[in-house]
Amino acid sequence: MGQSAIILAVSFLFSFGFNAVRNDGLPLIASKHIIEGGQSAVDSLLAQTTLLFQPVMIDLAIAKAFYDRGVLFIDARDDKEFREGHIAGSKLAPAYPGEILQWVTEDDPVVAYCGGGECDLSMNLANELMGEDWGFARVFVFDGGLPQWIEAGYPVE
Amino acid sequence: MVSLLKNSWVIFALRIILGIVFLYASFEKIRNPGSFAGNIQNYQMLPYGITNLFSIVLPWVELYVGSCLILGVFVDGAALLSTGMMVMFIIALGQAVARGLDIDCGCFKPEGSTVGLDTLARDIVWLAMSVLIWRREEKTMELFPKSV
Repeated sequence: MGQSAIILAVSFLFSFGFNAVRNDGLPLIASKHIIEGGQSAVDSLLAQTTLLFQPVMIDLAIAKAFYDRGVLFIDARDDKEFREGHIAGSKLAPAYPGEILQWVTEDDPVVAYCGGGECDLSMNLANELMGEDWGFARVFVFDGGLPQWIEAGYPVE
Repeated sequence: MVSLLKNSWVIFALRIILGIVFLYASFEKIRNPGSFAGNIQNYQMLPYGITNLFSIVLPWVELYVGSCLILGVFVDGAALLSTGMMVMFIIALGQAVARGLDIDCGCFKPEGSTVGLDTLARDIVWLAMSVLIWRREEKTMELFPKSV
């Protein structure tokens, strides 16, 4: 036990030390960067000229504003959960690129969501949509997901 | 078979093999802790906030455990930590397989093998090797503490 403690202590020392001095060190506490805001944020995010390099997380207010403007919502969960209830008008995550192109083009904004909280499906889907194979330009992740949407009393089906 | 597994030279060989596995596993993660953090997050086991802490520290534990096993330094402690890590990995992989998560293992490289029964079996073999080293009766080729 004593030896394990020594190995662990040395590991802690070097790992945090190296992390502190390296250029690409990580913040000790991981945090999600969620964009919050009102109408101006919505306008700039939806502008055709907005270039995104990776999916952007949005909060409930922006998600609702997007929704009201008719942005396509995609449910990243599986079809069983989808059938049990989803954001009204949202589509189940497509299985192949052609499917989603029935509804929107690559230039249209898209919002992915899932079960909220610890659910990473929406981020995985968003990364895929913005990847080379799918080539979407502006993909957003509604971090609160379905639970927050229901809690706010917004339309589900 | 049982006596073979207790042979001190067999234990020595297991130490070297397991040590190389750990060293190999640590390099890419130390180089790129950000993508390893992403691998950990995909397992959906830990609270999001502490995933960075794991991705910072764990590769260094692997590095030192691997070095200790190969050099024969603090072999008891290294084998104990190795056993603990393998149990942890098996639980993580097991729950991912059970929930049907289609994620990268994050075992050696950010985008290596996908989690599945093969990665699980691999870790079980390494767990067995760790336990054999931990419970060894004779010390062979160990630098510190010196074998009697």
